[in-house]
Amino acid sequence: MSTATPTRPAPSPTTTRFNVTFPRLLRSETIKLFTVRSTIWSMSVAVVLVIGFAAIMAFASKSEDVFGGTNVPVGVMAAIVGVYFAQLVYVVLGVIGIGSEYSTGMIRSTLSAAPARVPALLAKTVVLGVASFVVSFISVLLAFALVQAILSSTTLGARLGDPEVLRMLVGAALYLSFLTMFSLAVGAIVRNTAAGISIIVGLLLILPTFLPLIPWNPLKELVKYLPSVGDSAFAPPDMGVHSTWTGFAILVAWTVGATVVAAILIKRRDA
Amino acid sequence: MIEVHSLTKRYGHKTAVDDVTFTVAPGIVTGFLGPNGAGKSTTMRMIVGLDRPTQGSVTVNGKPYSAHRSPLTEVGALLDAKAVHTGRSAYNHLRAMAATHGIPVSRVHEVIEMTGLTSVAKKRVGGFSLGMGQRLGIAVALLGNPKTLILDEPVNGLDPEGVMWVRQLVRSLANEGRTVFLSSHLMSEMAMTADHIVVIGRGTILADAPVSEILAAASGNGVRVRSPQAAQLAELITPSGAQVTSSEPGLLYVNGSSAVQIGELAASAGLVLHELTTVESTLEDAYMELTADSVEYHSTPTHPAPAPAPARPSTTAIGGK
Repeated sequence: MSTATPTRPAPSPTTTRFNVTFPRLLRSETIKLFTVRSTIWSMSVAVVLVIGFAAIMAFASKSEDVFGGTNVPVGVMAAIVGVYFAQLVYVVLGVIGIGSEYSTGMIRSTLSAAPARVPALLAKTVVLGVASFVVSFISVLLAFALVQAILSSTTLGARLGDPEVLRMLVGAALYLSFLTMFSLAVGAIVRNTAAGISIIVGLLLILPTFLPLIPWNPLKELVKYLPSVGDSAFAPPDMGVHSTWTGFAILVAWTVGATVVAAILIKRRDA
Repeated sequence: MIEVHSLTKRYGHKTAVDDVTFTVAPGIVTGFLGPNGAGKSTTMRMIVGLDRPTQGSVTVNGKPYSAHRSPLTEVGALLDAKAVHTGRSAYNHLRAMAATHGIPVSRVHEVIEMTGLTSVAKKRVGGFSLGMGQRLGIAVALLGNPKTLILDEPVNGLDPEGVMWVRQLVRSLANEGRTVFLSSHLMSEMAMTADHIVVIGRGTILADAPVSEILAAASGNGVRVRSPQAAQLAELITPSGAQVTSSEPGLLYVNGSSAVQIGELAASAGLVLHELTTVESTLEDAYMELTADSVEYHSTPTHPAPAPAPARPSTTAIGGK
């Protein structure tokens, strides 16, 4: 080993065109999303749940009044009912999107490539939000088509041009998309898949069911502001506590708030 | 170039890295040695911005890591080969990393070939052996063709061919003028690969010098002499101030005289020499001396079970020659 190797000058830096940009981060997150089996599996399950339940409800409606007299046609009610089941799959998709990075240690690679950190989190949020919107919108459209086919011999069918129909279908996709992004943010805050899923299931299913049973008014008021009220986006008009877009705005607020907290934490904490 | 200045990291009451200052220069291979728990990985994580220092600063090529607009072309780091999603293929992992910087897919293919991963590139990383995982980590580090390389135990799990490949790789990268900073516990490899060594123990720097200096400063340097007239030779050597020790008859260990001096001394007195060997400290010896007090996790030597007592002969053996 030579004792005093003269240090050679570092190679002159060429102005690199390989800078990290937000579009590039979007591309990276898209590659990440679609190169793991769990994504394809969960999206397939979500699609099957929406279409499957739509078919079941449509068939059931032919003999019974399963929706109890709503102000919108059965043809669209059947199409969106599967959303209540599929939403759990979207929650898992959202939490796993970041939780799996922490559990496998991948997050260290991600944050090495994008040390500014917050853009990487936002890129992941956008990619998951868009992907879940597209998949869910396609599912409800397919479900809608299937339901009309099943109900074609009855008067229960609906058409896309009917009042509220398109809004309910788009609202379903918006609801699932924001729910996915909300789940991602919660996953990023707790950095753990199981904890993230438990928290969202608690907020979405458990609290709205059990809090109203407690005879204390402040809690009953609280229930009106849980993220689950976002379902007004795809529910028939004036069915829930809030109007269509007010309820949705509450879900949006939860999502934005959680994402802001997640961004602050990811920036400050050790990887 | 990596510049570490008064870097400190505390976790609650425990100080993992304590006011550490050193510079890693370009064009040479700098080794980073230290016992388990000494703070090597923590220091390296702070260099690439994964952990935030409690105090002090570290810059790479003049700026903190997170301030670079193209981090992977500035620094290629292998800190943790397991920082990969187990369900993804190696190829897709590299694609995802390359995409963040707009690095073309052709480069991904290049590094896969360079690291010998071509046959397993499309397989899930979860099924990789330790060595393949390491190669993937090195591939990621090389993706941006970086000016600086930081490798934490790169030869961990590699077969001898892989070990040699890494040695040649880091040497050629250093010869190109890049900065190479690597940590390892494999002393023999480090001695062959590194030009400069930084030793850390219990969070503080114990040594920061060229390899030759570290070896010279170790106490194991001396001359081993075998001679039928060892006792006489010892008496001749001692007046010069050198230390002479003897662990068996006919064997001398001299510290402070060179083989040349001893050989000529013996010849002038007409003494016979059976062996005259210069003993040099290895890097392992030097390192063990430096870190003797800083080892965090001591192993306890296992005591061999006592041998069963031999059967006593019925007649008394007659001793004597």
